[in-house]
Amino acid sequence: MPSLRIGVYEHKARKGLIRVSIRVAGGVIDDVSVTGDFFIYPEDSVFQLESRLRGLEASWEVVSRVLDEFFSSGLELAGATPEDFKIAFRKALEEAGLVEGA
Amino acid sequence: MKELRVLLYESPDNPYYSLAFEEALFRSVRNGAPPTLRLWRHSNAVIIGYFQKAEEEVNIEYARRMNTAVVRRFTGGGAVYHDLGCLLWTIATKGPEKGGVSYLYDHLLEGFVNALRRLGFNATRENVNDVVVSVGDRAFKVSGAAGSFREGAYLLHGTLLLDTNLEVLSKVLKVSKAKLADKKVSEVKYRVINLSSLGGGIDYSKVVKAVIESYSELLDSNPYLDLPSKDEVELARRLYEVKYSKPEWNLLRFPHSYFEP
Repeated sequence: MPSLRIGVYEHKARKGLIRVSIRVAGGVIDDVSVTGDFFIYPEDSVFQLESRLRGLEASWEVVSRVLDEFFSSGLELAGATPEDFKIAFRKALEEAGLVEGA
Repeated sequence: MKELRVLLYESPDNPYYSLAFEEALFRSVRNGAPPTLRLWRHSNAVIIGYFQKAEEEVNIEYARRMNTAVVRRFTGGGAVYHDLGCLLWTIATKGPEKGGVSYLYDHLLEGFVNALRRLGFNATRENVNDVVVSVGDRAFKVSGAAGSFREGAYLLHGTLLLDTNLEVLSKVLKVSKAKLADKKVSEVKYRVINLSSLGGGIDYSKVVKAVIESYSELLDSNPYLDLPSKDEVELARRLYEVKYSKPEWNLLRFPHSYFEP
């Protein structure tokens, strides 16, 4: 049975809380959700990001590349930056024990 | 001169339908309905943002005990508690094709802030979507707003705390540890307050009048009273049935595509 790891991190942006919950099974992202009171447009891009991440290797290298691609696709944020989302993801991976703490 | 359609259209005891109508209104304006200002209320509901999960934001046990409905809206942002002491307002209109976030939170929200100024308050926009009233050197949050835009159509909706039960509000909503830890943020910097407690003899009719006048001015339009069209009501009913009445929508944060594949 592959090892199951869970990481949750809440990051407070200038406006809005970004909560990343990540579940990793055998080194692969098994489930991920980005919840909170942030603003991102178009809204449904969040769900596209989540499904893009599912099934990928749970490493910062892979996740940060997906995030960079995601935020270069013409999205609009209000009161938060792509960096805020990257912090939340990196810390959630740290919480899951998959990234060395900075 | 252009016209601003005003809808005093509410279903206070059915917030699920109320929120379904919001989405119907957004689609209707996108499809050519005139700019519309809606004023409405709920009797006892928590409304959470599109990216929020109910269990993370709401004290579900307390809500159940208080018979408080938990409903998710199609716009982002945070959870709010509504009772009849909270005025809800919505402005939906066509706008610049690429107006984006700035048209929503700089331009359209300014209309609501101007309404409070008309009533004699020293009101400002803070932190993207908060509306703050200053008294002397103290600032109080009285309103929050959230919006969406698509294909050049915009919808911004918000609250105004007039005479809401703040004890229920503070018990039914959870405050995250991250927010409490961050002393810089508005949620703790500005105390939430009812506008009526700041004096000035404020009541519903004065506020409603000021909001209508203010948005008429902002959109350079003449206001007229109207009812939702048959199409809007039918669309709202359909959205209520397939989406807003479902726990998967309200409690589990499922995306639109799950309900309307």
